[in-house]
Amino acid sequence: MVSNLAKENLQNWIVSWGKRHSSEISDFKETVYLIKKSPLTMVGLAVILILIIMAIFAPYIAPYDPVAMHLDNRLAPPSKAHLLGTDELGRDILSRIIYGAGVALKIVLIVLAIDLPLGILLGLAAGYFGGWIDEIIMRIADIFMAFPRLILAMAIGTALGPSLRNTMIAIALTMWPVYARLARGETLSIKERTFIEAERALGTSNFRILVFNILPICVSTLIVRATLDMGNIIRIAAGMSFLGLGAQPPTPDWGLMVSTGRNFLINQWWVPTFPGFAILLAVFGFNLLGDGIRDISDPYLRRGRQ
Amino acid sequence: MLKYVIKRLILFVIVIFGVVTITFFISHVIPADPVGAILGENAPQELVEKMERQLGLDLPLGQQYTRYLKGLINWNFGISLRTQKQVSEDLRVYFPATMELAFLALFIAIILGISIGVISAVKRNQWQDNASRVFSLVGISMPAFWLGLLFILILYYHLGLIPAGGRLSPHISPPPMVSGLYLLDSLIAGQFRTFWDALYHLLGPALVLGWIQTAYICRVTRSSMLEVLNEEYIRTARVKGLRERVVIFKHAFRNASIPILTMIGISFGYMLEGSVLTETVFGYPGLGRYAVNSFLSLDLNAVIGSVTLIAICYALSNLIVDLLYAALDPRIKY
Amino acid sequence: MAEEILLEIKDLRVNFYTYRGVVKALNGVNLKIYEGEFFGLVGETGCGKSVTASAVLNLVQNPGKIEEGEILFKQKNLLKMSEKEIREKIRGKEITMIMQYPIAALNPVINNGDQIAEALIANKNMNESEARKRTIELLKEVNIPQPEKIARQFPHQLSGGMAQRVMIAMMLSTEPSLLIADEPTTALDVSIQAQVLSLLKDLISKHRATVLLITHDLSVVAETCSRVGVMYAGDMVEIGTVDQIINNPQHPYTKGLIKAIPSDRSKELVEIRGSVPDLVNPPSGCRFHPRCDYTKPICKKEKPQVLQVEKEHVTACFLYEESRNKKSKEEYAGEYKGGANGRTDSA
Repeated sequence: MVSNLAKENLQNWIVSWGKRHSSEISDFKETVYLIKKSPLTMVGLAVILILIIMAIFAPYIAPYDPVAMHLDNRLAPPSKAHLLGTDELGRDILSRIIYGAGVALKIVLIVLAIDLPLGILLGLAAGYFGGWIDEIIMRIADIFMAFPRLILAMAIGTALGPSLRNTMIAIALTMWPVYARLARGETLSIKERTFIEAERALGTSNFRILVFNILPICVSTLIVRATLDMGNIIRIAAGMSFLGLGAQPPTPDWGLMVSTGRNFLINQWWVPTFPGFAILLAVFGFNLLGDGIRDISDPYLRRGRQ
Repeated sequence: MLKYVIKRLILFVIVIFGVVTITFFISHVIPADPVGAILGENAPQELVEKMERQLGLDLPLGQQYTRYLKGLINWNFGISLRTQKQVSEDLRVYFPATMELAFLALFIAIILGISIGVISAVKRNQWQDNASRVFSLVGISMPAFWLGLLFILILYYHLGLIPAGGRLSPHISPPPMVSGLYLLDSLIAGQFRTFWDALYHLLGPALVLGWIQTAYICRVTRSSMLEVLNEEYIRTARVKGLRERVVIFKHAFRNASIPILTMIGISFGYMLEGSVLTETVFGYPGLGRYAVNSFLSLDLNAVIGSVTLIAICYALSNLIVDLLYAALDPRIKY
Repeated sequence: MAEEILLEIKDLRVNFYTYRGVVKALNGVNLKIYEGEFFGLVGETGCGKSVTASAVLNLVQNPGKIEEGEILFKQKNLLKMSEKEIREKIRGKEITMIMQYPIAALNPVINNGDQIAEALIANKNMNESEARKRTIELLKEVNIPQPEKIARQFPHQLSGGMAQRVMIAMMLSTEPSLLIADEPTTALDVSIQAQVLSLLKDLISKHRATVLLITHDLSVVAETCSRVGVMYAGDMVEIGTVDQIINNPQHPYTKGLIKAIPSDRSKELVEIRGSVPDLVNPPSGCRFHPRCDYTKPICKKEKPQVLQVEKEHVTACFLYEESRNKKSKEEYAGEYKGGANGRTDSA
């Protein structure tokens, strides 16, 4: 009897919750529907999941130690023992690629961990306060954006000294203007909306308005943009490693592996080819996902499909 | 309109000034040790000091900066430690090579990218569209250096369709220098064999750069065409009974062309950075490879010279795009 | 009234395939338009008026699809024609359309004159200079001052009223037999609306075209049209002459629309309660029943049939069926099917 009552209460509560949040629910359903309807997004998601699993469980998945050298088994072609062959120091290429997933993801995460907060901070400040603060921040952003990204990253990376850590710093320094600009644009458009006016009229402090009203909207926009950039970050980092201006041996970095494997291209094609393919696949996965998320979050496309 | 052009030019100058300043500070303030790189870490102190004096590295930073700016105005970056030549001299040789490559690649990318993108948008969600979307997504995900290696492995080694590298075959001498673009100069001099040889050598790197840029242009073309095809005026055009071809090219494409144009400008910029990787892979003697080698040997003057030149080109391409943009869209008022 | 039928739509069904499910936008629409008349199609936003217009031109946009029905134009079924045939013979030549937002409907990067000239070149075999000359004449005809100057300008430089005049000039330039006007004045300033409407009326009588006027505003219809069709949620609920619809409406929805017309006489504005239903899961039976004040059990179960009220006047409502039944059961008994009999018994 009592349990029945409780059940009924729960049911009522669920129904009323559903009613109160009906727009969010239908929004979510639509999102799920759109993701499901786009097989490419699912493929992207799968690639990235595999990447994450490889990164986390590398020691359990990888058949060999990625840095252990076996000079008696140099440049062995793909075989049962070494599915993707071995490199010039007899290291198992498959294992190095699996460990390389961690390196690639680490670069993406750290670059974004620097750039998202930095971009939001500068963008919010520029957009909200306007005037000379805006002018200075945005002109500096313009100047940073006036460099081709890889060139600037190369210059910073070289100056700091080639290493994985400096590669990440260098890439972060080249990408922040994108986020600052976006955050500024969002802030400006939100600032004009009436509810912010109302908050102001109520005497809410600038800080509160920034944190509670503007920040959440900015964050979601920037995250969408960040998913689009993830592939690019991997690509630039790989480019720098390839040129010898990024990660240094014996890091199992894909770009570096292609770079050293280059010398064996003609006679031992597997040495540079497989790591390069890993880069392509990872970047492809991130781009698929980024595209999917952008399409899904784009109100224009949402409408367009109705 | 004139006001806008002037405003945009002023911004251009500010950006260029900022760019050269940042380049200077990155290369002088941050602790890398160029002298050590040249002389080795155990070089005797007096030799190091002499070298620093020679490079002006012993002066206070402010003075170094003014010296650098003065040099820049005269397009003088000093001597490259690696090549032992004036940096500006080197740039004059390597820059046209990169321009030649970039223009050829851009040409390929514009033609392929726009046509594939338009087809993709018109045949939305049909197989042509899906194929072109996969093709362009692979393109934008492609590491240029790796694609270059694959080309060398397959097109050069296995099929023999492209040469191993360089700008010309060893037995062919460069055409008399007019623009520095071999394709153009050889035509001017009437040396058709040189022209074909130069084109043959450009093929590999231009296809690599071109494919990747094709992908970018194709994506933008598709999405902006899709957006425009949904517009009311496209309906009007159809109601008027116009042929589908006219609807697409005259009514839709002209409106879609503005974002496409922007993308082409951006593409040109990407090409400058793509050239760094592609030229390195193909051993093509252009600005990109020159920059990389300068970076690797910490050849400061050459680094500054090449980065400044690349950044100016990039900013210039943005400027041109902005101005064209204003000219193309009658709605924009300044 | 000319009795020649220009356009006849029979049982037209259009669905839109969306993520939420299939939107049944047109649920078997029937309609006749006589040559030379001014036919009004009224209903709320989303009732399917514009979809009907698009279907006539075979321009229903993705993800919409014409499922079944016939659209007979001069006795030929447009739905059986190939896209090429429709483009070459119908669109622009026989049927044209004016849209709600004239500025959005004009191409922003082509100047006004060229957009009109283009229609002439494509449909009237004119060369460029002939077309240009004719364009200026047409612009004069729609009362545009300084037509040469306006022809050189771009759409964004025009006011809404001017842009709609350009649209009218463009769409009448090829002397079509049927002009569809989809909410031609809704987006314009109130002061301009009457001007544009009367201009349209004058030009139509001059060009002897037929007009299908789509609007949500019954008062516009009352001023301009000879006959009216009232649509609700993808159904045609009532058709009649303006006089019949205004003075003797039969369907509760039509009555509601008439009450909602603001006028000096009635101080009280009555609105129809509720809102347009979701057409993914349309109400069962008569789609209007959730908002109707006279709902009966049968209304929830069955779709009402179209019944003749008098000459030219038809409606699809059980209420009318019942009242008519009461008057003369025997006379119309033959029309009824099983379901209707069951209901008569229970009543």
